[in-house]
Amino acid sequence: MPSAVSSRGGSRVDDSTDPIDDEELLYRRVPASTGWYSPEAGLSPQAFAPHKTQDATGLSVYRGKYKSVEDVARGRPGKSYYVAVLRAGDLRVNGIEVVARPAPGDPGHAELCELHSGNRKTAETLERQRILATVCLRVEGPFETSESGQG
Amino acid sequence: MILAEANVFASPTLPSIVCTSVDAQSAVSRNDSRRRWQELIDYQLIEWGREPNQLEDEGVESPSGRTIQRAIEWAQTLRDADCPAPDRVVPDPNGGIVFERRTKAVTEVLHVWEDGSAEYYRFQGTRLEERRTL
Repeated sequence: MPSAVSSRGGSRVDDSTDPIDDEELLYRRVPASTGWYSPEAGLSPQAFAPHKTQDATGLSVYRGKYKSVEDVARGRPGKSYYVAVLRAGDLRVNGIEVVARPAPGDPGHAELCELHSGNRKTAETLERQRILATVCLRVEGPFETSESGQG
Repeated sequence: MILAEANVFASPTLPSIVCTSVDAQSAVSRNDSRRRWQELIDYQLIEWGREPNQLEDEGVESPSGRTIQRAIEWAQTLRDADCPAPDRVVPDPNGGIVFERRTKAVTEVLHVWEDGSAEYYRFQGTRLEERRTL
């Protein structure tokens, strides 16, 4: 059966997966070593800057419905991470669509379609990064990933 | 910052940049600003160059030595022009370096991209009001 595809905010959205409710919380992992977050300076828009190759279809976030903050914070062994918490509806009212993109073994993966590798230097993306830093509800952490890779 | 609140960048080319905010700062704040610039160079940018892997992570590339050198040159130029120091200097995820200064709703950004090119932005809130290649 073909997947249902609709258009929201100008983006094509695959509705064949568990849709993301406006009230759903989304998590974005922020490596502490980058300085993208500090309690004094707050959250930098660079925490939402797309990578030039790894964000080809959108910027990765994780759904609170499927993963805890601690799960999302688990990264490279020996490193520390913060987790930025956002609400889907706050993104949508600002023209940033979020769609479920479950990956094998990772049903909670989602992407922000309007921010991707191909448009990372555009004015719109620079503004959207700043919007995301502004609508972020809170930042949790830091959480350290142990040398064994456990959170 | 740095920058355009007082037409800081009089020219888009590096050698002729003139910071015209000098008169807007007292001698004390100029000295503070110069000290802050020097701290950023000595304790942050040079440290990144010495230990580049400290920034590397999933989806985050460390700035190359060349990009760090370009960022240091910009910092020295702006320091010597008595431009106000940035609030924060952070890497971008692609090996670039971002200087940022915020004053109320205005944020000024100097972005040194991973290829060594540089841009200046001025945001009013989240709206990009000015963007210049340097």
